[in-house]
Amino acid sequence: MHRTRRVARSIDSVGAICGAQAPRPFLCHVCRVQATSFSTSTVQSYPETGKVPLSERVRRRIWGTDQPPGQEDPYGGPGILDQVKAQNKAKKLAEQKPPATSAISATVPEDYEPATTWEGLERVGGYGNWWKENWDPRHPFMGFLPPRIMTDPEEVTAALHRALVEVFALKQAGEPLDGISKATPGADLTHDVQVIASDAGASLVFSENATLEDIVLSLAPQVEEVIEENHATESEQDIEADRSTEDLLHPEKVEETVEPPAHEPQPTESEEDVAADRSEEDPLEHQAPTIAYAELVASWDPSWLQVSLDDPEIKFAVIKRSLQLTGVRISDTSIRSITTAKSLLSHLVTPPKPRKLIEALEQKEEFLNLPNVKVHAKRITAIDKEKTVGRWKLIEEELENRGLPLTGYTRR
Amino acid sequence: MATETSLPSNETQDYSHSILRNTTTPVAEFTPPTVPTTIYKFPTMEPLRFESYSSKYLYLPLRRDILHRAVIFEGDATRQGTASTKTRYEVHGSHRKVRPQKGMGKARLGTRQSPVIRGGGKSFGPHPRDFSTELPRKVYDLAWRTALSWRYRKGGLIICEDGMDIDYLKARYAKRIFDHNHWGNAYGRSLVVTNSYRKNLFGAMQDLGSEGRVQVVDDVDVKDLLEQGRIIIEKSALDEILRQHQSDLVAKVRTGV
Repeated sequence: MHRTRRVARSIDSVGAICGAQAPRPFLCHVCRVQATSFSTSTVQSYPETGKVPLSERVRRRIWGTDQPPGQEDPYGGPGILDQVKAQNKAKKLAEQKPPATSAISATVPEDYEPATTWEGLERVGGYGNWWKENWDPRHPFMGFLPPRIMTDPEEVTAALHRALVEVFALKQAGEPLDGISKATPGADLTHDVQVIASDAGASLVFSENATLEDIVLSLAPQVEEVIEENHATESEQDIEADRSTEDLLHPEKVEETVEPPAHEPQPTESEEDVAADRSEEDPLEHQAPTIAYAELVASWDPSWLQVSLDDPEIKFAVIKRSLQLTGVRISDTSIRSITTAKSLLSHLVTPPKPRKLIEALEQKEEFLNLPNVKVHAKRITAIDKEKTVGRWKLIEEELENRGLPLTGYTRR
Repeated sequence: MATETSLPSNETQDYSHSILRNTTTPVAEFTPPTVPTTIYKFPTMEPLRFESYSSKYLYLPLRRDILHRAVIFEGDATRQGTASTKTRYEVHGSHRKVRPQKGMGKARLGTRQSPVIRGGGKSFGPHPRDFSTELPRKVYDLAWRTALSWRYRKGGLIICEDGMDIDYLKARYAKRIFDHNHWGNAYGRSLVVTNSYRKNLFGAMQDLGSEGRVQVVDDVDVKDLLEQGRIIIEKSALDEILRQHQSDLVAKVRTGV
């Protein structure tokens, strides 16, 4: 009690001191500290009041000037490490910027038009198909089956026609039939070739576009080039096959994709990947000519379906080639009953047995067209009914607010 | 399991493709002496050639009763039969009378091994025994070939060239093969049967139980043949199975007995 002076402790005097701050009369340090500790108003920080903090004043006194060297605020702000990092970052940015801008300016074509819709634009961001394309390049696997199984009956018919033409072309040329699948399927040259059933199996009527030599040559594994390409671009072909399943079946594109790496002697894997990713995908999709298979099939003399497949060697070659082209596996049980191209085609175009009821119903289409019947893939639950009327979100929210389970039971 | 066999070739072609209208598929009403099979190259599944097997091996009619008897026979034989309990004569302890016969106001008790006392023996408990049942060898052999025939008729018997193995001991590589050939989980899993142990294939499939199994031919039984979506079997393994299970066809079969 008697250590502090009565005057300094009274609130009244403090108020008087605070009110008299405008002319700033001198107050000793003890008075000032005690006054602030007693005041009920908020404590003001030094920068706002314009006061120089004690540490700064000490620094000034040590250096003997009002502007001492060193940091303005040695006890705040970023540390020395952060400062160095920031400097390095700024340096890097400064180094990177000029080439980037020049590249952009160089690649913008003159006929550039900004897109108004997102269709056809490159998709940026996310992983996309990166993992699919770059999955396990050290353990490549190339199966005999194409990655995509043909389901369109017209397309399958065209593939079978192609297989027939190629097999009989090999036979006509006197080549061994087991070379039918040695080369990966290339361009389909057989569109204009007519197959006519004859006593010796079938006779082929070639057109100007595709002669016997062309077809036989297309089937021969291109020893020098293809092997090199295969070694150089194995992973790329994998990637290609994985990405667009149609490519194997539209071989014009495949040939083009294989070309560019062939010019480079030994591209590294990453180079190939990048090349495959960047340059080749988009042009392919735009170039893909959609073949009207129905017209194509109609243009052939229907007698080609009567070509006999009784010769087991021919039957095997045709089945093998059609498997390679279509991806539809003929079960061993059916092999015996296949005697003509027609019977083989019937097996190829028959869709597999549906695994689910919905698939079976979709094939029938009788129920789907009924006005009073709806077919769903899954059971319609109470939640689905609420969703159709747009009530489920509210119910869900309310249930969550009350800590109640959404589907009838809580998982512990 | 199917209740009746159906030949894929005899299926009603309700799919109407324009070219195929008015098609009459030739129906094989008689049983041919031999049936063709395709031999594939293993991981790529490239068809190599046709081979034919006798209809008595791969084209038998489905007999569910025989398959059932074979599976039960195998299941019985597989039972471990080691369950064991102690009778009152095997329980350890003194045979002293627990308490006097009379005068305690309680029930009479002889020894503490009595089955009515806690800690006592088990009256009619299990004891180790052999659960195996008997099945005529010819019936069992017929069941083997019936199972294979059922697979063949369903198109689920894929015969591969000898020397089945894969290039890398990698589960993800094996998975890739399974995915590419439509053998995996989405297609009902597959059983791969080889004639002997293959390091890469078996090692890769070790962690791939969700996609399929791989077994040496000696470990395969009828139930294994019926379980999964399809069987991918080495030709020598198939020949070995057929050789061992033909007692009803050939005059004399050498057995180990």
